[in-house]
Amino acid sequence: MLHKLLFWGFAVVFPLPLVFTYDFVATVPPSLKFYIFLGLIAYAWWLLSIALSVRPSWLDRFVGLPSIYGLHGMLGVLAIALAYVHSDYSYSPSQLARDLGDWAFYGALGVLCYSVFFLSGWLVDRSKLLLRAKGLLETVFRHRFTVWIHRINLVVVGMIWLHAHLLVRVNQYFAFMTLFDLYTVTVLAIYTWKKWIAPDTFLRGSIMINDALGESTRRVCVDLDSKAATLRPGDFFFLSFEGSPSVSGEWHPFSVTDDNQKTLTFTIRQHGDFTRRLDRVEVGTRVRLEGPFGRFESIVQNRDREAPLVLIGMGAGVSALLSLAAAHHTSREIHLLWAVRSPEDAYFRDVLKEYEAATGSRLRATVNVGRFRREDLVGILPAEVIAKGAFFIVGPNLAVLANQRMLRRIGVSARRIHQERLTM
Amino acid sequence: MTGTTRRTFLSLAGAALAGAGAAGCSMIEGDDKSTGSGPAKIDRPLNKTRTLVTYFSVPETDDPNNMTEDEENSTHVVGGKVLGNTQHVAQIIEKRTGAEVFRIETAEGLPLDHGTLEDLALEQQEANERPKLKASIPNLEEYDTVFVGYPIWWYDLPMPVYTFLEQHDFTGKNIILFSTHGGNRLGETVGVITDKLPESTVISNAFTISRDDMENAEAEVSDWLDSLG
Ligand SMILES: Cc1cc2nc3c(=O)[nH]c(=O)nc-3n(C[C@H](O)[C@H](O)[C@H](O)COP(=O)(O)OP(=O)(O)OC[C@H]3O[C@@H](n4cnc5c(N)ncnc54)[C@H](O)[C@@H]3O)c2cc1C
Ligand SMILES: Cc1cc2nc3c(=O)[nH]c(=O)nc-3n(C[C@H](O)[C@H](O)[C@H](O)COP(=O)(O)O)c2cc1C
Repeated sequence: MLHKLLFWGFAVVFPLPLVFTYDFVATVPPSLKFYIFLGLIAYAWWLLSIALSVRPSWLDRFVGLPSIYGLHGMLGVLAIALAYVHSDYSYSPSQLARDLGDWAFYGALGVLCYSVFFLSGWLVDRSKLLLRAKGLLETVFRHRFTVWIHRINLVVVGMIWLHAHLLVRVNQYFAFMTLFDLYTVTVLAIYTWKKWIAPDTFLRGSIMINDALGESTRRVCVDLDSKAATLRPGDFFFLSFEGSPSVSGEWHPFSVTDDNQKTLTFTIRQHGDFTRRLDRVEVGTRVRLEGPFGRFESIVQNRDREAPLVLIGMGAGVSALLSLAAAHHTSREIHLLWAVRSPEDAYFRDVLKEYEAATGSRLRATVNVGRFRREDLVGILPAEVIAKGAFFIVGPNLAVLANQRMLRRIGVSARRIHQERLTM
Repeated sequence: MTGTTRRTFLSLAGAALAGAGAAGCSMIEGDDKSTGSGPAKIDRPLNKTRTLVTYFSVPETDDPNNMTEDEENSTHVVGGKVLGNTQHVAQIIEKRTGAEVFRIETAEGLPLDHGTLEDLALEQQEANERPKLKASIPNLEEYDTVFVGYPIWWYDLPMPVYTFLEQHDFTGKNIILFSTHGGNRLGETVGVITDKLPESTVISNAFTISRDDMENAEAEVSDWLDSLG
């Protein structure tokens, strides 16, 4: 909570040096100043939003990737609102500046609407109908295309930068313009570094095993060139397969399934354009891995130190939970609940049996074909576990949210429910 | 893109934003019409023979054909005649009230090229100049109520309007302000004029309209005049 407060606080503070510097140097009518402030805050938030999109690993450990993307999206919305007031209430003498400001506004608004639908989950996670619509539309508007659309925001920033440079009431203040450019250059440098330079420092490895698990799932084991020293149970990586004729090099997130820092095992359900081609990826293919990311282990260690763990996984979502189980089954009471689509999809049944045997049933696994219902949960989980347990849910967004609501209804406090959704 | 579509689009976008729950635009909405501390209405009905409409306006061309975007922005064409935006508003007021009209003009002609005019206006503002006027109102004592109309220039009154206000004695008169702008509404001009004319009653309910909304001017001016009492 404190971390999140600090994180959001930073977003509030981030534009202030720009605002204060302008306030200090500029001698313009107060009403004009006010609307320029709004423009400056919007611009700073767009920049910050871009900086956040590089998802630094350390920041993920601090607040979690969902919070990073949450703030990234919120800043986009708030910036548009401020930009609207700024644009409607200020006068720009230069026609070009005015046009640039307008185009930037429309561009940002368009990208925002597009991204809210295709990337954020704010809408589609709350409606099956919209989710289905998204699924249909994604046959044309592929994730990769969406990512490119999203990058129009960089052009937007370029236009606003030029817009500001064309305005006499802004560009005449050298100290301010220097700071303004410094903000811009710093953020664009961070972005460039992340896209073109940082990948060279990422972990790398080769595919050792790529075989089928159940009906439409694969096990992909990657032998790393060097150990993933910072890897913790429950973590995930973004993977990019290099030089494979079967799949593109785009980055996809997958959770690590066991507790091994040298050979990473991923359990990947094949349902989309990218994952369906995975069976054609050959052993020996080189893989780049960005990460690790994830907060589950730090929650287990710090927040819910003594509590029994309740791990609820849907389909391949169980993989993150399995690595938590692998790490903690000898020391903690664990209830692992796994919902699968068909009996053939319960490909970890044997592994779970082994864990159960090894722990003398301190780990209890329940596999269910189809979703867990409220009466299932109440039947499986002892009252004490419901009252004290730390709950971890992983799966598709709608299922995660539905499970979360169900847990709240049987009396699990929101504070004890932690979740990871399989889209972002 | 023409000014009209821009504004319409911005309004639509704004509405969409509000709909999406991103409120926050409305906090300043109220300052469209009235700022300043004077009364919102005049205390008796307008007497057309004792009312004068004065205005400053610089249409950047008089040719209604092949206008550049800047020229279009600064003018409004009525029946094939090119009027300045503020001039157009003044004429509507004239038509509605039957009052006399006085146009504020500088002794030296102003450049009509937009960029040159802007540079000159900014220079005059920064030097706090008082450009000489072509003429003063010869019979100001015959009026109780004076409308003063101006475009916003560089977020402020055009400097010739300062000359105009300082050159006349408006003591005891009702002053009613109207203005046209390119985005920043009235700015602080109502407060500035109220401070400048402490012996007059400057009505706080000033009128302003964007140059992008000039086609609605008739209706908006009428509503405003009705609200003045
Ligand atoms: C933190 C996290 C951990 C995950 N762990 C696993 C796992 O262990 N096993 C597993 O099977 N799946 C996991 N996923 C889901 C997996 O990343 C997606 O199923 C996969 O990227 C879909 O790709 P596709 O092109 O085959 O499917 P599509 O049908 O094209 O996409 C399905 C959905 O996945 C999302 N998606 C697509 N491409 C990307 C991308 N490049 N980056 C992010 N999201 C994308 C989109 O929201 C899309 O709607 C995880 C997702 C997240 C966010
Ligand atoms: C020199 C100059 C400066 C201007 N400055 C502003 C300004 O600061 N704020 C604004 O909203 N509009 C500004 N405008 C736009 C005018 O206020 C607008 O075009 C007005 O309608 C012109 O009126 P007129 O045609 O009666 O001259 C400026 C126009 C000119 C020519």
